[in-house]
Amino acid sequence: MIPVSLSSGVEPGARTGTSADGLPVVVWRGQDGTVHAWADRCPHRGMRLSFGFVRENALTCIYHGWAFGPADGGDGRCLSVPAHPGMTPPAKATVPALPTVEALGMIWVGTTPGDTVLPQDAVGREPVHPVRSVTVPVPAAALRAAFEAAPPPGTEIAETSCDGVLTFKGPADLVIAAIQGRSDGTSSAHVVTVNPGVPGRKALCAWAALVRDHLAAAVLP
Amino acid sequence: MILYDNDLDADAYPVRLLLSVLALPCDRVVIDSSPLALRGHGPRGPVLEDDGTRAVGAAAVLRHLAAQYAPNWLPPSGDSLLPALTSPRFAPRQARLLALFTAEGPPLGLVEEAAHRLQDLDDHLTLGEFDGCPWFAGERPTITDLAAFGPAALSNDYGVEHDAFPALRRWIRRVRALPGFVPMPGVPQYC
Repeated sequence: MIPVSLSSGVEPGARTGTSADGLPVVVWRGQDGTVHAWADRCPHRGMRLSFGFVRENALTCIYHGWAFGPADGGDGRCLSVPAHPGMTPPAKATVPALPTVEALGMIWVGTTPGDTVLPQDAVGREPVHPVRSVTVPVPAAALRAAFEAAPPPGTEIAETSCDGVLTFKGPADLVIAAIQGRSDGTSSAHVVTVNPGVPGRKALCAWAALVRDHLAAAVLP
Repeated sequence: MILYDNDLDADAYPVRLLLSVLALPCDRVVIDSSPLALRGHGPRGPVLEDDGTRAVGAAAVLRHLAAQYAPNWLPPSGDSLLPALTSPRFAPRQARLLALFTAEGPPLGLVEEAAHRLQDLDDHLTLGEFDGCPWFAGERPTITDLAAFGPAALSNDYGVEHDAFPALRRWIRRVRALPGFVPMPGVPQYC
């Protein structure tokens, strides 16, 4: 699975577009607190659902107002079509729903129906506290290398880091940066820490932004 | 009180927002404030006439209205963001106008510069949230938030989306939830 946002990045009633290894995804959270990640394409006319809006526990397309949400047949079902208020929407009017899990203070998405396994380093670290996300115009491998080369002050990279999850350990802190491959050679890192202190998290914010800005500066023409 | 502006003019949008949020009665005179009409002459942006005072440009109008009618909407002294946000040279503004009014659109470098300015706003809000400051100038909304809203919310017009700016997204939802919030063309009514 791929991390697409910090949990705090999509609050109840909010939605955003993103991409997971090239797949356009809309991530949204209903008022009941449940997060959903779907293919970012309305099955009616192909409009991006991330331009739509959340009402209660449904995501509504901005184009013709078709509302989609969880139903008896599964997630992503069309719940209503404003132009035909008496019609029961057909089952084929369904947005492909992706496996979605919240763990490590992040939202994780599987890019295929069977992709439901979290990276091992993402399991069992909680509670964690959000720092921030950064997005850079370089592929995931380059972002990972940049973070590995510049651990947060007072920490070093732990040997247990697997592909998508970097763990930095220090005497007083444990910092995790989970890498998201996006599309068109861009990527994001979602950073959390086990340390709730505000000064420490602000310092980590500055660290992540510095890594980001160095990467962005390096790709200038 | 008379406001000279145009619904399509994003430069005047923060003034319309403030008038609506404060529920101030104001006559409006529609002027052609497009960059094509104003090229090289005429005052840019909104003009407000209020009881013998004439304020020209969004920053001056916002400051006048807040000082006269809602001092709690003035940012703390020393706030340096408002002049940059309302400058004609603010990259998000320039990129949007070139996208809307020219066939070739904004040069790539200008779009990147505009995205960088939005990143600056996101960074500012990201750090502020840690200190319990959900607004640009602290714990309460000010005219700086209204001046920033248009450039942030209208970035889709030149192809920059908000997926990389989580704190900006949260703040946009806060502004939209202000009692009296009004949209403008390009800012969806529903969100």
